[in-house]
Amino acid sequence: MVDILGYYNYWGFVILLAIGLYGALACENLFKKMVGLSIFQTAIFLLFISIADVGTFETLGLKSGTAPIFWEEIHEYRYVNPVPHVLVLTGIVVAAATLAVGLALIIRIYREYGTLNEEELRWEL
Amino acid sequence: MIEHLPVLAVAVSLLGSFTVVLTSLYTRKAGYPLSLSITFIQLVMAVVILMNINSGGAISYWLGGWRPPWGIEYRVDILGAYVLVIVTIFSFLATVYARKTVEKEIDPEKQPYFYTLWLLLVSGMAGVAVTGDLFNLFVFLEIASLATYALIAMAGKRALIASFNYLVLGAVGISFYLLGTAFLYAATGTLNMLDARALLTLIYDSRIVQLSFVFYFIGLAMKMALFPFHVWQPNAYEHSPSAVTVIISTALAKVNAYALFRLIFSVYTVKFFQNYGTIFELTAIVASAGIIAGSVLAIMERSLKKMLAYSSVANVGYIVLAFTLGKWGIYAAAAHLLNHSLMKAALFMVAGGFIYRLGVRRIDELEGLGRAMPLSSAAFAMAAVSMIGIPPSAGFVTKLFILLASLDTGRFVFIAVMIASSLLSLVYFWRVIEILYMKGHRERMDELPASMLYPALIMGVLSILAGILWFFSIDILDEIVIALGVV
Repeated sequence: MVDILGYYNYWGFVILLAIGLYGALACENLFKKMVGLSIFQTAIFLLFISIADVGTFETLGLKSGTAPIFWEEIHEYRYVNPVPHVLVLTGIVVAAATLAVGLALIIRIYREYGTLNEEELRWEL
Repeated sequence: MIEHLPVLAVAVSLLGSFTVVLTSLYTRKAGYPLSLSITFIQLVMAVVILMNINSGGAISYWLGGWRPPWGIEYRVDILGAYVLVIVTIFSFLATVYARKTVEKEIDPEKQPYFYTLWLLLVSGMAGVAVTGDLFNLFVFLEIASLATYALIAMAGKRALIASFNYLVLGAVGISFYLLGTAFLYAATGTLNMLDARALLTLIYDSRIVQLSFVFYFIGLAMKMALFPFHVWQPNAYEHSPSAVTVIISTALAKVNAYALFRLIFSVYTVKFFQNYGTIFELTAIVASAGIIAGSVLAIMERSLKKMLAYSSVANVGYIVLAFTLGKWGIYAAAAHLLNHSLMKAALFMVAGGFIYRLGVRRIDELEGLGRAMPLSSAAFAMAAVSMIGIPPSAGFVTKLFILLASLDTGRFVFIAVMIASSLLSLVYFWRVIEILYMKGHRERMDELPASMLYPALIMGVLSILAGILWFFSIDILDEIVIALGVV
């Protein structure tokens, strides 16, 4: 039980991933699709942050998650790998840019067609 | 100097794209000449890189001087240089082609921004070809994709919906790529492709590694419109500005296929797939289904550009199928990256030209154009004949390699798939040629403007003669196979 709860951040990742993917692909409202997409991307950032915790992957017996600045340090010491954090920072910028382009398109689609419903818009194509 | 070329090839168009914005404060006319000169400089750089790699190894560039496993490395080997040349050739030709269509299709106020996004797209594509870092590849793919969404939407109206659909599926696809990277990083702790390749050899059994490849595959399949994930593609090709259709159907589609090429052979390597044959089996089945389904959908389509888009779905299937067919498969995949671009460039350039001159989109509206615009129609017909696969055309070269690969690996079912798809493509391309040349009558009219006609004609002639050209430059393919360490 403790083992399952101990991985709460990974459970969060899986649940958010599923909700986000469902939202992005199945919602009919274009704005809800963008919200779903954002949740989907955020879930992946949560995974990146989770794997930055070195203790989790020591079981593989790899040098995984060894921070370059601490290369020669002892491995029992529990620290957090900075690289995934940097990746997430870049990822957030990319996600924000995607969201901005998507919302700009939504505004123009609404001005052009007066609806954001995917089914109604499909007939326009 | 030569070791700085990989980063310069990306940087010139990135800086150029911002220069266009700055010049737009003073003049609206600077976008086109700047784009043309920058894409030409990139083409020269790419050719210089390719020539220098022919004589030895790979060019490695450490960004900011940080050593590779930790810093970002740009690494151009023969395959990367070859793809960079493809990207820059087709970006340059598409830029030449773009001038007239952009003047007609894009609002004058927005033309500078069109070229800004255009150069950003070129920069993203060049970046994918040179980078040796998995996360950097993600960033460049995203730069190219975001520029594409906006470029497609510039046609307005229906293009907005097409662009939004592409954005949602493209963003989900690229997020799957990021998810794959997260899993691979969790297993290996590295983002450098060369380093990951070495570390992965120890842990092929790990579920995390296997899952990471599945995510990579789904993500890139969505990006390059492999069969079940192709739904965004026909509408995006149909409604985007003509020049944008040319560049995304040639350069961008190939860049996404190259990313998968790189992952399969340079990161995971053939050994990984020998241990897990089922992954390759599934890939081959999906690709074969795509080849057949794309061809059938193309037959049912009435719009010219959409028909060509479905034909692209089938041809992406060819490339992915070729990945699974051993050494000769790599010959086929690498050759088809160029061959398919040659043919599709000519086809989409002429299709865009018909829209430019006459505003016709449906195939049955093309009646009599073969006599009315003989040179433009000839470019289309040459590329169409090449798609069907008559020797010595470009399509024939690919099909020959796939035939050899199927015989070599003893999987004869793919020969049947290939023959079926060739017959189907005969049906849908012959229909267009028949309407162009044998039906209806039109008075002689002006050909397309020179900047649109000549790129299309050059591509058309090259796609017919590609078989002869490949015969003399086959050693590039030999070197790619050796550099990937497959033999």
